[in-house]
Amino acid sequence: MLLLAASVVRADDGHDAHLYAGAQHFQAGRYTEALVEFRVAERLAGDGSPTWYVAATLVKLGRADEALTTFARAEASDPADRDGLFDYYHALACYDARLYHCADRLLASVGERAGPKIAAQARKVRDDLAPLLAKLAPPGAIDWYHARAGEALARGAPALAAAYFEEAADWGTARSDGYRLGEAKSGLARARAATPAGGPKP
Amino acid sequence: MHTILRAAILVSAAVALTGAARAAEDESGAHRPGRAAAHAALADGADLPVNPPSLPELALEGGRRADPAAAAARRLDAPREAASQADQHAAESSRAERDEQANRIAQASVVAAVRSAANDAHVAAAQARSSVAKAKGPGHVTGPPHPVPKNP
Repeated sequence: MLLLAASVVRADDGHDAHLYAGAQHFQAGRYTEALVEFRVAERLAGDGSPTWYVAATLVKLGRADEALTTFARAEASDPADRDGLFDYYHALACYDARLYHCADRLLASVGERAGPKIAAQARKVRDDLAPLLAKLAPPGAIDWYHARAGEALARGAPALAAAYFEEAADWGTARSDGYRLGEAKSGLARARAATPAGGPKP
Repeated sequence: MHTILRAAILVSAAVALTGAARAAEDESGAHRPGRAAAHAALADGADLPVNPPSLPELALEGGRRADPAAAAARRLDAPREAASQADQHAAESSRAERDEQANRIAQASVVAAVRSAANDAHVAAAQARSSVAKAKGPGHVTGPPHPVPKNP
C-alpha cells in the first residue's frame, strides 16, 4: 500500500507553479515580474525547460543580447523542448540584435509547427528581410559585427560572440572581396570552442 | 468459499488500484499546467518586430581595414551615433538597477519556496505519524510528534 501511495504522490520541485505565475504576468504584459518567476522556476527545475521562457521574456524586455545567450543555454541544456514558438522568439532576438541571417534561418525553420498565426508572422518578417539580405553589406557594417563579437568574447559570452561572428561571416561570404571572412570564421571556431556545453544555471 | 471470494475481491481491488496509480503517474508526468500556461502566454504575446531591418555601422573612427568610403560615411554619422550611445548608456544603467532588483526578488522567492517546501515536509511527516498511530489504535507508544518549525 505504501508503494502504491509512493507511486501516486510524486516529489515535485515546485517549478511548475512559478511557470504558471510567470505565465500570468507575461499575459498581462508585466514582463519584469514574469522574468523573475521564470528565473525562479529555472533555479528550482531539474531540467532546463524554464530557460526557454526566460529567454523569450528577455526578448519582450528588449534585451536581445541576453536573450541570445539564454537561448544558447536552453538549446544546450534542454534541446528536446525546442519548438517553433521558441524558434520564433529566438528569431526576434536575432532580429533585434541585427543578426538578420540568423533571424532568417530560424524563421525558415518555424514553418507551420508553431500554428497558423506564428507561421504567418514568420513569413511576414522573412518578406521584410529579403530585400536587405539581397544587398551587400558595406565594410563598416561587417566591422560592427566584428566589434560586437569582440566585446562579447571580452565579457565572457562566447555563445553571443559566435552569433556575431557567424553573421559577419554570412555578410562577408556574400561580398566578392570576402571582407574579413577568414577572421570571422576563425573567430566563430574560437567562440564555439569556448562555449560550454549545457552551461550553468544563472 | 467465503474466504476465497474475499481474496478474489482484494486481488481485484489491488490490481485496479495499481492501474489507477500508474495512470495517475502518467497523467502527472504529461500534465504540467504551468508549462502549458507559459506556452499559451508566449503564443499570445508573439508580435512582429517594431523597427524595419537596417544594417548597422561601426561608429568608431579608424576601424580596422575600413575603406575610405566607409570612414567618410562614419564621420557623417558620428553625431547621431554619439547621441545613440548616450541613450544606450542611460538604458544600460537603468537596466542594471532593474536586474539587481529582479535578482534580489528571485533569491527571496527561492528561499521562501525552499522554506515552504521544508515546512510542508515536516507537516506531512507529522500527519503521517499521526495517521499511523491512529491506525495502530490505543495502547501503542508512538513517542512525541516532531515540532513543526516556525518561520524565522
